[in-house]
Amino acid sequence: MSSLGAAALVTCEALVSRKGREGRSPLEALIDRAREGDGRAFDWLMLETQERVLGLAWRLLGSREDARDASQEVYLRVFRHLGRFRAGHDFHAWLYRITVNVCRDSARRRRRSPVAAPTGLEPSCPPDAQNRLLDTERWTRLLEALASLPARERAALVLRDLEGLTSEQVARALGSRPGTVRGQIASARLRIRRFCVDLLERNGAADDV
Amino acid sequence: MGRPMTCESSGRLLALLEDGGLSRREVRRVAAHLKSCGRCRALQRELARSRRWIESAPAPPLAEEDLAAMRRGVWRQIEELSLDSRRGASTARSLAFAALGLAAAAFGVMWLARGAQEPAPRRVAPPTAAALAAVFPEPASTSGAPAAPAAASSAISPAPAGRVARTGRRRASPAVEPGFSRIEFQTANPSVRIIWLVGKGRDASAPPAGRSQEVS
Repeated sequence: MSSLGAAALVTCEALVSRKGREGRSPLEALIDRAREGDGRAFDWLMLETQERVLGLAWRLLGSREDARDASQEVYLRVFRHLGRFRAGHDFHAWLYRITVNVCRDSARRRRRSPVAAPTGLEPSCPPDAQNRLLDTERWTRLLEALASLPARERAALVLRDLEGLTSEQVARALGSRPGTVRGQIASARLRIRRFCVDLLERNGAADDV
Repeated sequence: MGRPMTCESSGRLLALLEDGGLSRREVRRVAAHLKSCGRCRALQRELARSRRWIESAPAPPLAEEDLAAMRRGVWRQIEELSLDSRRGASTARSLAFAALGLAAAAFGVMWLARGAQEPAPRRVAPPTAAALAAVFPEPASTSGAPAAPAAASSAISPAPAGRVARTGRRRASPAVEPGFSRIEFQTANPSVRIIWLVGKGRDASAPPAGRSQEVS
């Protein structure tokens, strides 16, 4: 979590301290307040979850601009349907599911492969340092690797291996059965493995992997 | 142990081996296959490397300006959404008022059209003296009564002489029917009108006489 996200969480904890004392997590209290129409609470909710949402959308869509548009749509849907979210359920899983659906819709709307043209860093991240350059290179390679996967396998792999969800959580987020998701994850790992082998053979730097 | 495992089956299970999601039987079968298959052992190593590569991938290089721009976009869309909903509510109200106005106008037009189709109620001729006499026969005791006041109801028109003769009544002047007041009620049926003629010289305790007249 970035410094901004941490600051947001501290402030939102202060914002919901009264409800937090009643035994609920700050996030739940924040959701309750946002549901009651508190705009500040909704803003804090965005601050706390925006990096996950934007990062996931970027990995799924492969483009910063597309990811930003998709994230806006995600929070718009959250704003519209927050009343339907059932208290006590996993808010992040709900958010992931909305994000995956929005990215799928976005890819369908644009009638192209979701990660057809992965774009790396743009001028907003100046690649001045060596580490930065390395990260830029690795990020671009990761997007290329993800672009080589079918959409469902990509979503399953990103949620499982990059977001760290369990197979059951991935299944809930994708609206699939756990067995199906395990098959998708296995297939995606085998494909990524091929991509990695090709990449290493091209670069001749097996130690990087 | 059953049949020996193929490399294809082993590969799919190897991809899930590190998750810990395989059953003990599956793990045993894969382990047995790996002992005898160098290709699958190589695959296992590649899978482990690629997994490390994936997991060590850098986080998305999100800039603060990306996040801020995203939030600004969300709020802008939320404002547009609420504006649209307000506009929608206003439009719905306007449409409802317009529909009500149209309904009222249509009702008015229908009502006017119905009035034009119905025959206008004909003016009812005032009853003749003979008719009055038929309705209110004068009692014998009143024959010697003083003459009725001259201020007779103007609504009573003179009756033709022939009719007076037919009734066998005598009247000094059929043109003037003194001592009567006329009250008319138009019923809901335009062809039925109720006319009350009240004799002023009559016994006040007697019930008022009346009749209904059908307008043909």
